[in-house]
Amino acid sequence: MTDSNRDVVIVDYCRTPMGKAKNGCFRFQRADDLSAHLMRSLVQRNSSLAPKEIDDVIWGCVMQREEQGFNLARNSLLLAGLPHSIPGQTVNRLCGSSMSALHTAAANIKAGVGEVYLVGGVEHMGHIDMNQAIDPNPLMGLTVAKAAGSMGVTAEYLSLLHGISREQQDAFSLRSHQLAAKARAEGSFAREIIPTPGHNEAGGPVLVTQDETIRADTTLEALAALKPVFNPNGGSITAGSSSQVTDGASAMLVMSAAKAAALGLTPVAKVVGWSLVGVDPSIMGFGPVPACQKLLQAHGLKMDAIDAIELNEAFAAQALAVLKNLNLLPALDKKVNLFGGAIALGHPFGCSGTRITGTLISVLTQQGGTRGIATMCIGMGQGIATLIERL
Amino acid sequence: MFSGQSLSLTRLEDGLVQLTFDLQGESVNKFNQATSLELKAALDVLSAEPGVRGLLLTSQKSVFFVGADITEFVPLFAQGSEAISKALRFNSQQFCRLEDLPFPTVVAINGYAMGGGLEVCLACDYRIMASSAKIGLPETKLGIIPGWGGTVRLPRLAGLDTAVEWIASGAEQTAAQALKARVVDGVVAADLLHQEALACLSALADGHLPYLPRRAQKKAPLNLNNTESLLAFESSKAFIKAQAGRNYPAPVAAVKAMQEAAKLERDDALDVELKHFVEMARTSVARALVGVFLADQQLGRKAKHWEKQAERKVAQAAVLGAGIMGGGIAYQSASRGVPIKMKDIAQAGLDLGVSEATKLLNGRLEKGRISALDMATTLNRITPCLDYQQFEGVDIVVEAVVENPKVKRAVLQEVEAQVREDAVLCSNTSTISITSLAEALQRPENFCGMHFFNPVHAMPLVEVIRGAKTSDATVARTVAYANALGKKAVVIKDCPGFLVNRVLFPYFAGFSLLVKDGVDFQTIDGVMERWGWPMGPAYLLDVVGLDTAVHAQDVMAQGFPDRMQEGYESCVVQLYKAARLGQKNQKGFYQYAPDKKGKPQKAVDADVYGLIGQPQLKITDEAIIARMMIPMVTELTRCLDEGIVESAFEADMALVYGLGFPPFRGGLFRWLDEVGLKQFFAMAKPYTHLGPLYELPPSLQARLDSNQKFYAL
Repeated sequence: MTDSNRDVVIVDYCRTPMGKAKNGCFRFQRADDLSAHLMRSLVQRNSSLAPKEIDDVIWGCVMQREEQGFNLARNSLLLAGLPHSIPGQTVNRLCGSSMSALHTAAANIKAGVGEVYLVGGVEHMGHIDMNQAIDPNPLMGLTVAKAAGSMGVTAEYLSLLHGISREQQDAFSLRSHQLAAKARAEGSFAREIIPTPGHNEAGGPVLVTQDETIRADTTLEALAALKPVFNPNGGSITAGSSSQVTDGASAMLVMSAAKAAALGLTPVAKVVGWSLVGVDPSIMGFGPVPACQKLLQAHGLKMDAIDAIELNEAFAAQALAVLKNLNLLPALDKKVNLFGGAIALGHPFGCSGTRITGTLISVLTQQGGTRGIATMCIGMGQGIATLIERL
Repeated sequence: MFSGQSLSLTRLEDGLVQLTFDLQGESVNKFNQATSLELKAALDVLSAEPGVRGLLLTSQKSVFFVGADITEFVPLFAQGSEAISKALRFNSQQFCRLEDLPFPTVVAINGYAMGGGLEVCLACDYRIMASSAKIGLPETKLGIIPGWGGTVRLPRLAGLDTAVEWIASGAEQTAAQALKARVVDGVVAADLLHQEALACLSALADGHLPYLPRRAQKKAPLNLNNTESLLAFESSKAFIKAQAGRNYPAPVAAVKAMQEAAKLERDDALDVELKHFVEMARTSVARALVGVFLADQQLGRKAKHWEKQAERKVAQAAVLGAGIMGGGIAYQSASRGVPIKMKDIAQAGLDLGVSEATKLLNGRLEKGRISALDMATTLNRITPCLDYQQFEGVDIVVEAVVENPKVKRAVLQEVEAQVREDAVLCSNTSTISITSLAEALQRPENFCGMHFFNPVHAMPLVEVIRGAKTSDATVARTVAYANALGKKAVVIKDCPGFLVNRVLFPYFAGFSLLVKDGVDFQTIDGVMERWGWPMGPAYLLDVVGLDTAVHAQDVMAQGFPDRMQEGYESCVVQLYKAARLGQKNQKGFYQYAPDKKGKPQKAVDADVYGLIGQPQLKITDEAIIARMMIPMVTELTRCLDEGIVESAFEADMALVYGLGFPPFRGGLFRWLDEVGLKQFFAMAKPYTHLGPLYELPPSLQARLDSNQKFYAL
C-alpha cells in the first residue's frame, strides 16, 4: 500500500447551493436535474479528462423512489449528456451514502480496479417525503427499539444520556448559522458552489448562487422560543437545532494520483483513509465517535494531529454528544465545522457525505491546514469517517 | 417604435423592448398573414435600432394566441402547394429572425398559446407562463402538422418524446405540465407575469442567466445518436400509428418530419417540416378536419346567438322519468352546475337514475378527475322526487319517460299544470312528432323536443326540435340549457325521426337489404368500420337495441310510407322476434359477455345465421359502401330540401356529433363534395332498382347540373 501512484486524490469538488425543501428555489428542479448539472459542470471544468474515461459514476441517495428511483446515478449521467459508455450506480447508506460512494471509488482506485470516478449524491427532500413509503418489520422489535427509526427521538435520547442542555443546543445552532453566514459573506463557498438553475419566489427562472437556508439574523432568543418537535412535553430538540430539510447535491472527481498527473490535473486533496462502524440503533447519532476513533487508530494518529473536522450536524444535541466524547469541545472554534454545518446549510441525505468532505477541503484551504476528518452519523446505528490530506 | 394593426413595439427601460400582440377589431390574437407581415416590419425596425439589449413578447388580449387564423387556411390550401409553401416559409423565416436576434428574447404567455401561437414562443429564448395559461400544438387534430417550426424546435428543446406526445395528441397542456416538460422556463401567477418575464429578460441581458447554449441547441441537429434515434422514432411511429388509426395520417407525418430532420440544422429541418406540411394540407382529411373545425365554431356561434335571445337562464331544471336517459340527463345537468329535479313514479326508477349518475361520477373519481367533495356536491344538485313539489321553481322540464305517445302526452299534460306559465317543456323523444305531442298541451308554444343521444354524458349532440307551434323563446331557452350542459345543439324542424334518426334508418334499411341479398353482416360491419364509422351497422343496432330499432323503424315507415316501408321481414325483425335484443340481453347480431372491467365484449354467435340465413353473396367493398351510404345521402338531402335542418354544415355536424360520422370525412355533404356529385351519381346509378331510397332527389340533380357544391371551398 505504499505505491503513491495508487494514492486516491480528489481533483475537484462541488455542490449546488442548498435550497429549502418547502417552497424553495429548487421546487421545480428534480433530483436528477441537480445531479446532472453537477456532473456536467465537473466534467466541463476539468476538460483535460475525456468523460469516457470515467470508470463509474457512484451516487448516493436515500429515498430511492419516484424521481430518485430506478438508478438515479445512471439516469442523471444520461440526462447530463455524458457518454453512454459510462456506467453508474446509486448507493444507499442513508446519511452516509455519498461518503460511501467516495469510499467505494477510493477502494477501487487503491485496488487498481479503476482510475477515474465521479462520485456524489443528492436528495430532493421537497419532492420525496422522507416519511412516506417506509415499512419497517415489526419483528425488528425483538432486538431494536422502534423509536430508533425516528432520528429526532434518538437525538433526544443522546441529549439525555450525555447531558446536553437546550441552551447548549441553541448556542451550537446559532453558531452554525453565524459561521455559515460568515462563510457565505466572505465568499468561502465560492470554490464549491456551482450556480444552479432554480426559480425565485414568484416562479421566474433564476441562477441560484447562494445557500438560501442560512439565517444570518437568527438569535438565541429566537431559537429559544421554538417548541420541541419530537417530544413536545419535556423534549429539547427543535426545528432550529435540527439539520434543515433541504434540496441539494454534491459531487467530487476522484482518481489515482498517477491518472491526475497524466492528465495534468492538480489534485486538491488525498483520501488517506476511511472507516465504518456500527452502534446501537437507538444512539445512531453517536456513530462518529467510534468511527473517528477507529480511523485515527488505523493511521496511528491522535485527534491533535487533525487540523479540521467536518461533523455532519444531524442535530445539535447529537453533534455536541459526539464532540464531547471525542474531546473536541475545547477545540470547537479552531477545528469544527468552521463554515457552519447542516443546521444552517441543511442535510439532503444523499448529498451530505461528499458535501461535508468538500467543505472540509474548503476549510483546510482557508485555514492553511493539512489533515482533516469528515464524519457523520447514520440512521439505524452507523458511523462513517474519511481522513483526507490537503495537497 | 412601431405600431401596426396586430402588434406594436415599445421601448422599455435599459435598452429592453416590448413587442405587444394586439389584433385590432378582434377579441383574440390570431396569427394571420397580416400579423406575419407586421412581424417582419417590426423585426426590420428592431434590427436597425441601436442599443437594444433584449425583447419581451407579450399579448394585450386575454389569450396569447389562439393559433393561426384557420379561416385563411381554407383558401390558402386550395391554392396549391407552391402558395402554401410560400406563405408558410415567409412566416417561418420571421420566426428564425426572431430566434437569431443579437440579444435575448423572453415571451410572457398570459393565456392560450396554441399552434402557431406556441411556435412563436418556441422561437424565443425563454418562456414564462401564467399559471392559468394553456399551450399546445393542436395541428394534427386538423389533419396537418405544425408548420412554423413546431416539429423542429420542440424536439430540440424538450426531447423527442415530449414533442411526439404533444404534437401527435394535439392536446392542451397545463402550465404545470409545460413546466415539468421544460417547454417553459417558469410559471408564475398571472398578475406577476409581466414583472417576472421582464426580470428574466433583464437577467438574460445582464448575463445572469445563459441563453446562447440553448439557442445553439435549438438550431443544432437532434442530439440522439443512431442507436437511440432508431428506437425513438420507430417505437414512436408504431405507437402513434396504432393510436391515430389509418384514417388520420397527420400524427405519423409529424413524426416522420422529425425523423427526416433529425440530423439537420434548423433551417434545413424547417424545409423538411414544410414539405410534410404541404403534403398534409393537400389531403382530403385536412380539408375535412379543417371544415369540421370551422363548422363547429359556426355551430357554437349559432347556439350562442340563440342563448342571447333566452329570456332567462335555466337556474333549475327537472327531468321526468329516471331511467338510463333520465339519470344521464340528471348527471349531465348536475355535473355542469345546473340543479335538477329527477321525478319518477316509482322509487325503483329514482334509485336507477341516481345510481346511473353515481356510477358516472365514481368513474371520474377513480380516475382522479374529481374529488369526493366534487362528487358529493354534484349528487346534491340532483333532487330525486316522487311528486311535483316545488316544480313552480323549475325553468325547464325534460320529459324522458317511456317512448309511448300516450304516456308522454299524459305526463306532459300533468307536469304542465305543476309549473309556472313561462316554464319550458321538452320531450326527449327520439321519434315521436313534437307537433302531435304539443296537441295535448295548454301552452304548445312553450314546448319543443330536446333529443339527447345515449350515453348522454358522452354524446355531444342535442337535437332541439321545433314543433309547429314552438316559440322562438322556447327554442332559445332550450338551446341555452343545452349550451349550459356543454352539448352541441342543432335546431331541427319537427318530422318523424327528426334529423339523425331520419337518416340513420335509411342507412339501416340499406344494411337490411344487403343482408337480405345474402351479404354477411360481419363483412358489412368490417367494411363500414374501415370506412371510418366507429361501429358497423349490425354492432350499432345491437348497441341501440333491436326492440328500439324495430319500434323506431315502424314509426319511420308510418311517417314515410313511400320509401321507408320494408315490405319484407328484415334481419333486424327476425332477431327481435327471436328475443335477441342486442347488448341489453347479451345477444343480438353478436353475443356479449362482460370483460374484466365489466364492459360488454362482442363475439361471433353462429346461431344468428340460423335465424337470418347463411351469407351467400360476396360483393365488393365499394358496392357495400355505396349501398349503405346512398340511402343516407338521399334522405339527408331531403331533410335539407325540406328545411328540417337549416344548412349543410349543421347537417354534417349533427351526424358527426350524433352518430360518430367519421370526422376525417367531414360530414356526409362534405364527403359528397370530396367524391364529386358526378362520381356519386355514377356510384348510385346501378342501385336505383333497390327502391326509392336509392333514387337521387331532384335537388341533387340540380346541384350536379349547376356544378354547385355544398361548401364553397
